[in-house]
Amino acid sequence: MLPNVEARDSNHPTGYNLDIINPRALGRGANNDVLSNGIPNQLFVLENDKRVARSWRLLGNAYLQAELAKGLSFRTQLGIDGSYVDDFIFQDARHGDGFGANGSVSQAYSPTTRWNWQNVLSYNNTFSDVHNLGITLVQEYQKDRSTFFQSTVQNISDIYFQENIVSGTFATPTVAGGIGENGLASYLGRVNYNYNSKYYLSASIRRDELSALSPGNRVGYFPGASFAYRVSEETFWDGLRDVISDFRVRGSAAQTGNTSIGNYPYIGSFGSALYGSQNGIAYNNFGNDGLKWEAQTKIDFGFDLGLKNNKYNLSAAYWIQDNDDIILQAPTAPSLGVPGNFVNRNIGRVKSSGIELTLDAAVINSGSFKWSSSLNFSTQKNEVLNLVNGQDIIGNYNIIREGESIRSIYGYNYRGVNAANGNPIYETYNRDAAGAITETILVQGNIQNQTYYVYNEANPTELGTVRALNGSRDRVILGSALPTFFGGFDNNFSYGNFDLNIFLRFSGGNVIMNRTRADLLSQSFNNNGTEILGRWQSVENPGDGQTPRLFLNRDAFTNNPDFASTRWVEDGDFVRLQNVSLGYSFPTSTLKSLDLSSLRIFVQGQNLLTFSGYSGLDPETSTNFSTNTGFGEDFNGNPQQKVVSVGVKVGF
Amino acid sequence: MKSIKFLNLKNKAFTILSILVMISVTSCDKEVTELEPFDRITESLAFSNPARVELSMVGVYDAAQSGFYAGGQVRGYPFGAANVEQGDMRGEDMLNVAAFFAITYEANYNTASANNVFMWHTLYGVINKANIIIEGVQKAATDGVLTAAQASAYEGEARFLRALSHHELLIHFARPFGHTAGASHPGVPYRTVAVNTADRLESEVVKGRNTVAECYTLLLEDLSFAETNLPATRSGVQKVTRATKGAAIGLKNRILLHKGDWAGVIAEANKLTGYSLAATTDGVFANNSTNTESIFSIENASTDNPGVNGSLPNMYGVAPGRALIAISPIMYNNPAWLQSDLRRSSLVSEAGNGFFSNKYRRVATQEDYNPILRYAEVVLNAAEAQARSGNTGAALDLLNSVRNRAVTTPADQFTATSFASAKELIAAILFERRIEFLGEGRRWPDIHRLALDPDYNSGGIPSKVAFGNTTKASWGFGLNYENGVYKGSRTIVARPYDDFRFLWPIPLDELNTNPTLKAQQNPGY
Repeated sequence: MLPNVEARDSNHPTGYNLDIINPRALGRGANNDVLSNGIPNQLFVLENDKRVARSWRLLGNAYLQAELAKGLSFRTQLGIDGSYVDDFIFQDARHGDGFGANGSVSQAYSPTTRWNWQNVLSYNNTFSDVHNLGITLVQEYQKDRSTFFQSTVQNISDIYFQENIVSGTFATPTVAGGIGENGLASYLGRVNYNYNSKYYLSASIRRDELSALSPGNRVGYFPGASFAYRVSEETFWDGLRDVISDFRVRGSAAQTGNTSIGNYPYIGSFGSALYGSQNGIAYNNFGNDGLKWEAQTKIDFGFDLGLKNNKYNLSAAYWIQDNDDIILQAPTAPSLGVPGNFVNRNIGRVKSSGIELTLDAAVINSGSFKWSSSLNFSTQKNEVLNLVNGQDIIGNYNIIREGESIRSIYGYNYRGVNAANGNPIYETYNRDAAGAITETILVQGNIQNQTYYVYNEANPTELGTVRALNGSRDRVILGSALPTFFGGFDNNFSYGNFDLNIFLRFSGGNVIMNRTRADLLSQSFNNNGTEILGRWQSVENPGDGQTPRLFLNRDAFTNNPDFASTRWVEDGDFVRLQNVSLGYSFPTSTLKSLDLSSLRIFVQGQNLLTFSGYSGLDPETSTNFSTNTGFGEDFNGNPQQKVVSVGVKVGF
Repeated sequence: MKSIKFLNLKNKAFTILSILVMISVTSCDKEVTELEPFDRITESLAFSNPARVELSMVGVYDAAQSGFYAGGQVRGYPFGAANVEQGDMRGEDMLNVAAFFAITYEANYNTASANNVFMWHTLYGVINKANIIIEGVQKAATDGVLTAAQASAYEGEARFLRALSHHELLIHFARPFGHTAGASHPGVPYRTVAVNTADRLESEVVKGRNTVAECYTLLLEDLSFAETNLPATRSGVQKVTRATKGAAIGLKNRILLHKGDWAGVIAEANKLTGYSLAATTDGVFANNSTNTESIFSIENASTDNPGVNGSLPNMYGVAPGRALIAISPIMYNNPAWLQSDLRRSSLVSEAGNGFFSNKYRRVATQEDYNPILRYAEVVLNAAEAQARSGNTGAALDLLNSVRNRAVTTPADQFTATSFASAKELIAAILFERRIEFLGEGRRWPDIHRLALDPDYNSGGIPSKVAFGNTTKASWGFGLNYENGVYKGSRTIVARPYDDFRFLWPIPLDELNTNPTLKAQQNPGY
């Protein structure tokens, strides 16, 4: 929108301010031109276009259970989880996104079902009072099927028809649809043994067969084992028990396979490829029969400590998570023309490790007032151990490189604005044969002719030697996209019939590429964020030192938004008030008269406050964490909502 | 979640039952793990019968019409619309109205800017799909699925599209043919091997840029094969939207012009039969599929087109089109484009903020075809080649055959006495191309090919008008023109031929994944 133009205009037949000369754009008012690219009046769009998604969920479970002999039981369970999404979009013909198409209605229906069948045979018994043995055998089948179909009709006869697609009210219909399935067959065997609730041992093995892998590589075996030793059960502990009521050491190691790798990543295939009005199929996935299970090995060991009759509990653990044969869409050279320019491939190995501390305390427990508190804190260190041929995998703003945290933010070092002329300054480098930086050379990007020159500090306006900003040579790692620490602080208070919960969460050590900010500093004829007020205007008025001078339509050069740089990369640390809730439970005397077993009313606020230096809307927003491109990047991501709710909970 | 506990038995019958359950379910493995995809055809089956081969062939055209832009969007890359838009926005005759094409228009591209990156991606996407077809139909012929003649016809189609795509790459990423003696300077990698196995990924990525001379040899080989094996005509919607013998000849004619092989241009033009100029100046645009002039066009349809962010009617057309590309006053005001020229009325539309092309008219359905090759181009190519070969009479006749369709007043028509020299005639032919193909993306290929021409040197990327400096009053016949030169403000500065921005850079994601090309980037980037 334009800051100096009204959104409404009572003289226009629609009641909105639409441009007379270019009716697809917001009215220009006193300006010489409409918004760049003829952007429409967004108020019209918000008030007239519709987008509604309705979602239904069906969950069901049924089981049979039988005790076959003493300690031996069998259970068979069938489960179904269905999700049915109904999507509706209406775009008004008069203005906005429906203008060119003369009105558009689109409806989509997307049912997704998962069924699951589990057979469990278990045996539990105790021998000689102290040997406790449990054996479990599990057989499990799971299948997911998701389908959708969508109809879009355009050229609507009258905007009156906007509640649903109505036969005969449109000239241009299009239909889309799709289907995908995946399945998993698993067998699991597990043995648990403990001696007198003092020594615990367990071992398991599972065999998983995944439809998304080629027949030769479909089966994976994943073992696991754990132990625990309750030291406090020993007789020598008797003297200590008043102070340290419980003490155990524990450890485990287990392997699991990653099943979330898409439906058919290994199949070389031809998919639909419509050419105008002509049906076709085209190569759409590069096959990889060699794709194998991505396995994760998790090892942890630690101890649990209970003090003063478990009034205080402390747990500490060290963990290692080793992901081997990670499956990713590894980029291929675009000039090879592989569909999507990627190959689904086991790209290498990534290891994470950290410590996890939890302290629970019943801080106050005096009569009617109670306060219990739980504090947890974890660290996380991530490192890419090896990659195919040691080759970097570079996304738009991040990189997967051996020795670095996965998808570290990768870009230029920005050195602010040249105070003499308002040009942006960056670091460039000379490197030795091994790639190590041997020399830093500053360059200024001359906005006027869009050329980079070596920056001469003694003579900052000099535009002498041309030296390009080079994406291969001059980018460096700017920080971890993953938090290096995180945790929470949960507090529950009660006083009489009132209860209060306050839950804080924190996280940090990561950086975020705030791509959204670059768009709010567009150099085309569009509105900007207030940051633009800090731009360089003259030698006397150099602004905030970070924002270069204005130049129409030179966003790409002035802001360089296709690359990460220290100008846009910000710390992602935050503390968030995740939850506050206050409740009141009615006393039993009241309930009896109402014939209820419980009655609680409450008011709850989620995500009410965030303390963060991050300038975007939400430090936990990411455009898309699951792809190579969106990791650690905030590009018009939706912030998490603040939710305030009032509720009643009734038990009959 | 609801749990329904409906049985809890303790008897022997149930023991037996449960054992049976355990046994019977092992067959369930296949039910959940051996899944055939319902939404795609595995590659081993794509050439298993003639109907599927036909579908696979159409799929290469789809890649040419709607390759993927950033984030999987479709914006008509490379030949659904984008080649026209980029070809015009690299030149000065059309005017960038908003921000959409500013990077191209102002030559501010870098190794990651979307327009140039996705032209590279999608052109090579077409090329690999074409190579996969060639491999597939050859095998289908061996397997007896296709006759040898059918297989060769499909191979001809694929090689036509492969040549079209490589030539588009050459005009953006490599210097023109005449840059070095023998055209020994870097062209682009000319890919002829299907990349569909892990081994091929390794063996193809080490192949670097061919020289421009090698590229032209391969282009002409592909097109000669296509000419020999393609059908002379097709019917229905395929008449102009699928490659024919005429399309192969027409493209060869264009490529020989870029090579400066005048005799070759004339020979190809003479071979082309069955086409004629449409009766009216807008015949090609009023009737995309059944006119006599179109040789090859890319089909767009209401159900499959480059969309609101790419389609020609939206980018070029006035409201309800988005009107993001106008006719520049440099061209509109030029008095050499006569006021009486019918193209000023039939192919131009007026809006509140300037004048626009009216060649693409179907905004609501976005189904305008993209005219890739039409007969008028072959005629003007031949006119230029004849004139450059000294045959001014033949050249004048060819020029007039196109020009007099639009310039109908006899007094305004050219005669042998209109030109003092052959050079003046050639200049008139070159200017006629700018009028006739205005808004069809042909400006950049001409700037590129003429960059080193001793007489008609374009000098590189010309200076351009900035839309921000215009008002409606900036457009007017003859306005701001003195002695044939536009004197209005041209604030978008020229880039001389030796500026690195004359070429697009090889995209950064190519450099990141291709050590061979990383060492062969165009200098300056």
